[in-house]
Amino acid sequence: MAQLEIRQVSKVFTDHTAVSNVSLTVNDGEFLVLLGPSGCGKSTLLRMIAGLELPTYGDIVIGGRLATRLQPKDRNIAMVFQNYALYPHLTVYENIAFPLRVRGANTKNVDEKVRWAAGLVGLDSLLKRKPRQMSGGERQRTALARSLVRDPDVFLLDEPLSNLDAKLRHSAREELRQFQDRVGVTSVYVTHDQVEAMGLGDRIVVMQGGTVRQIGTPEEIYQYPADTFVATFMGSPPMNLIQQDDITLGFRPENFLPESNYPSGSDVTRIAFRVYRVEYLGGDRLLYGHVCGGLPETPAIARIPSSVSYSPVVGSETPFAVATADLRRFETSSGRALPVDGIVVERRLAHG
Amino acid sequence: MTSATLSIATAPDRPRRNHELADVHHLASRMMVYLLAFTAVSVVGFPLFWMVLCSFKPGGELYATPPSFLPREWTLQNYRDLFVQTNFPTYFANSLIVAGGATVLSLVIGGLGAYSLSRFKFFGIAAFSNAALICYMLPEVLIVLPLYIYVVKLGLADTLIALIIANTAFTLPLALWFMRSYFNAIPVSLEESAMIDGCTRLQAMYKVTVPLALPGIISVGVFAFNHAWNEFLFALVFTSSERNKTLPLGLATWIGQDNIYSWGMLLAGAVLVTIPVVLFYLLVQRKLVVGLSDGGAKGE
Repeated sequence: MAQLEIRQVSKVFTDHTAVSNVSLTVNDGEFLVLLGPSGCGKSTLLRMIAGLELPTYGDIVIGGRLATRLQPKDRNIAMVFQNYALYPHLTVYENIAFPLRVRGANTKNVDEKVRWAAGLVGLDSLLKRKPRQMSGGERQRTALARSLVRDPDVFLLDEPLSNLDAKLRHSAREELRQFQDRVGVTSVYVTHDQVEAMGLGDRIVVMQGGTVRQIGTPEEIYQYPADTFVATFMGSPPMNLIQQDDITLGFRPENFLPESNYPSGSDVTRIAFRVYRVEYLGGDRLLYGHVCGGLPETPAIARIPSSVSYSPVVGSETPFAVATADLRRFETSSGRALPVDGIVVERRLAHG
Repeated sequence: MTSATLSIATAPDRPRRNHELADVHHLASRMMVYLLAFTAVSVVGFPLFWMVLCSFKPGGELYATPPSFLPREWTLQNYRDLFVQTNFPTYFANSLIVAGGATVLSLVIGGLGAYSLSRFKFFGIAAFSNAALICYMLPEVLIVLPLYIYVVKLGLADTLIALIIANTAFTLPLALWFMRSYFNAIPVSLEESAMIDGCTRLQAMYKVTVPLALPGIISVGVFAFNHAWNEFLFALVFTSSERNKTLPLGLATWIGQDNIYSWGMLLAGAVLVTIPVVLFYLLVQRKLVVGLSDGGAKGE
């Protein structure tokens, strides 16, 4: 267990800058998620932490020890790869034992540890199999067991769930989180799936174009996005943005409800809405339409729980409203969030 | 209504199979495969078979017309002559040294080189791999003279080391290209994982990459051994003394040495030359096939 510090790290490849000037600290035992669209530099950052790439600028400190130039083997980190990187020629047992054997542990010790790690992820009965005889979920658990068999300081995961099918991914996510809670190891998890990020992370780092856009708890990031990129990247469907001169208004689809739904006298901002399509999703309905009235006509989406009795009339202008507390304002030119009453959204909570 | 249900109930258990053109194609292609295999076996196999049979015939019977298929009199005379009258054991040992040395060198240098070509990117690496391919296209005759000059200048003329080096030089381009494609097929993440698990790069290579590339390595080994074992031109040019002759050269010098061709001895020699190659192949063949089905790293 250790604290991980990334100090002003940049990575410049010959033709582009993959990561530019990223600083962040992962606290001891914390589960940090690096989230961003593909090509945002999150995997490069992870590979620099692992020692597979040398940062062009900046330093990486693991557990108070400068690790920028350390070989991967000397960092005491563990990593789960997207394709699990199980050694196809070895059995599950030997795969899990591999890190111990390389370090020259004695046979009895190895056996004990392997069985402990396999038990932790429920692989006891599959130890004699080869990786290709196993399902995706079992391979993923093998990779987990292998990476945890030797008490790493930092645990790195590079989209470990993206090769699983949707149903399995959900249960694997839950297992992974329970597992991390039990082991309590400092973890950095890379994903492009915001649902995974929200569900797993103690804190989320949203990255785009090699830079950090926002760092915060899932709630902070969802409720108070630091800029319009984070606002539209998080949430499905994304936050509605309505550009009004140099201020951009933002509100989440689930906060955008018919005005009649609010008790009279509550503090709401009225926005007229013209629906042109309704999508029924079981738990709720998605209303696609245009914001109109006093505001510039902009496409928007409202998400209304099925429990709200409201029958949308397609094509007509309906009074909708957003609770003023749920309304966000952004500076149009830079996209940055303007301070909300009482809460100042820092663009970089870097040293949280 | 009722008659319809009845007719269904009494229908035969399995519906009639609907034959289609593809069935005929399937049958025809099976027949073709067997025919081809039979042809190949007879064309390739008969000379070998004939060689083995004839090596057991006494000298006179070899010239009999019409030729006898099975030896009328089985004899080991040819083999005895081989060991008593000639330096066959020396040739054999020399060939083993040259072929073994060239194989090991090709595998070590070729393996490390192919690994670098596959994993690293630095200045000139693409040009180098293309140059290696062009080198492979040069015929032996073309490189034998420049190599001879080197050999003489380095004082290696008439040594087995010269032969080992020359044969390695000839095999290396193919070894590089062949193994490079095998290494390319192995995901880099496996080695990265091994390095994070505590290996140095070299350890990661021989603990993970080499076992997975084993079929490719074995194919290259078989090729290098075979080539060096059968190689004639380099041996002819680089060696002169009786003590350093290899098998192909030694056997060839018996032809026309005296005016009577000692066919019986030559045939016995040829049988003995073939045996190590066959043995070597049988030894690695199982590994080759197992490796091929095992090495697929897909999804792992």
